[in-house]
Amino acid sequence: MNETALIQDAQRGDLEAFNRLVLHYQDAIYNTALRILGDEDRAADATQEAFLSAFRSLNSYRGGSFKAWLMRTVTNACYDELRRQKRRPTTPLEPENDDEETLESPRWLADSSMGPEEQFAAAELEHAIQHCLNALPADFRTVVVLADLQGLDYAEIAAAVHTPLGTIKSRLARARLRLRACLQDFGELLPAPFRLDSDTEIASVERSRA
Amino acid sequence: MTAPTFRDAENLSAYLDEQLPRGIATRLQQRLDSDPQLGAVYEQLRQARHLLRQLPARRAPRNFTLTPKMAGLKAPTPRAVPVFRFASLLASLLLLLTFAANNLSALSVPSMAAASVTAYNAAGMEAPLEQSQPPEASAAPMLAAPALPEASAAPTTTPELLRMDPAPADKLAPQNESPRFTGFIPAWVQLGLLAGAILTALAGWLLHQKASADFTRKNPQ
Repeated sequence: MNETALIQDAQRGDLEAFNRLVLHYQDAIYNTALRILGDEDRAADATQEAFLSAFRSLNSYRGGSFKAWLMRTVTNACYDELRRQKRRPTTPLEPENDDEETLESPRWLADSSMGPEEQFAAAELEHAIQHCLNALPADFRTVVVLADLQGLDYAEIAAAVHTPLGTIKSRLARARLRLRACLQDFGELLPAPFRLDSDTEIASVERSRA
Repeated sequence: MTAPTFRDAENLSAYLDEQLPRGIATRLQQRLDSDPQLGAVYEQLRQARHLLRQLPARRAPRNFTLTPKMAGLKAPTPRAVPVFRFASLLASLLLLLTFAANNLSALSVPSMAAASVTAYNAAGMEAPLEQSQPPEASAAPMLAAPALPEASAAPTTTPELLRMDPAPADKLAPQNESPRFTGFIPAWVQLGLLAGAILTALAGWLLHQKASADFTRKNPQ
């Protein structure tokens, strides 16, 4: 895929070229929205909104990482969605059965390429991480998702969220420390390969920030 | 050896991502080698990042490609369409103008005709009067021919007056019959304009339809 040529064609209004870019990036954009919003339906809405917004403002793209530019649009869409979410009743992340009990091993995480045990471990890990991500403030969550899940560098994240580089560095460190502490609380509930050693350093480091 | 601060954690996090300037990274590496507490914080940050990277990537639940309708795209208008539309509009306007011109002239013709007929009648009515004079004038010489030289001059004009045609009968009474007026602009011109307006409008519409069909075929909804 010649990304530059596709972008130039799309900037001239070629929807087919833009849709090829959509197909290439839709998984990354959807995953970013999913981890920031913590809800599949809202993530799908935000993803669609992000691509629509990207097509409309494609002429404002002036080169550089197109993925980072798309991440900026999806981040904005997610923030809009979070603002809307504050004004509306929320639905739980975890799917529930008829008795309104959270399912231990959600069917929606099933991956046919994994064995049952692997599926269970992956589901538990995802559940724990998403739970801890949801506990973070939205700004921290966005930074850690863009850095650790999408692999953007600090400059790209700073451009994506319109925030100074120093703030990105600070938010990322704090988000990682909080995530580490949160995941530590899961203890034995985490799949064995992912269990963390106990420690006392995080609390003291976090206190030094205060 | 001091307890790690949040600034140290920030630097360790950036060091982990290889986002620290080389000088600072070197000094931090030296501290990591000699400070187990700092090493522990580094390890916690590394584990957190490692766990996050284990998060399985989901596939998008559907394709998020845009349709022309979603993107607000419309079929491009062929360049000839505005030309055809303008030609159709122009022909329609000209057609209206020809009707207006013909109607206005039709209204003005009776009054003009009336004016000319009145003027002509004035001249025409004099002739009969003068025509009626010769018998009187011709009688005058019989009564007093030598004594009235003016009267004797009268008979000299009589033949000319007699030769003068009286006003035509049809122009003598124009008030009773309006003239038939077919207009300045011939009907074939109006028909041509009408045909031109319709044909150019039709050609523009057909071109637009064809462009829309091509666009829909290329960008299915």
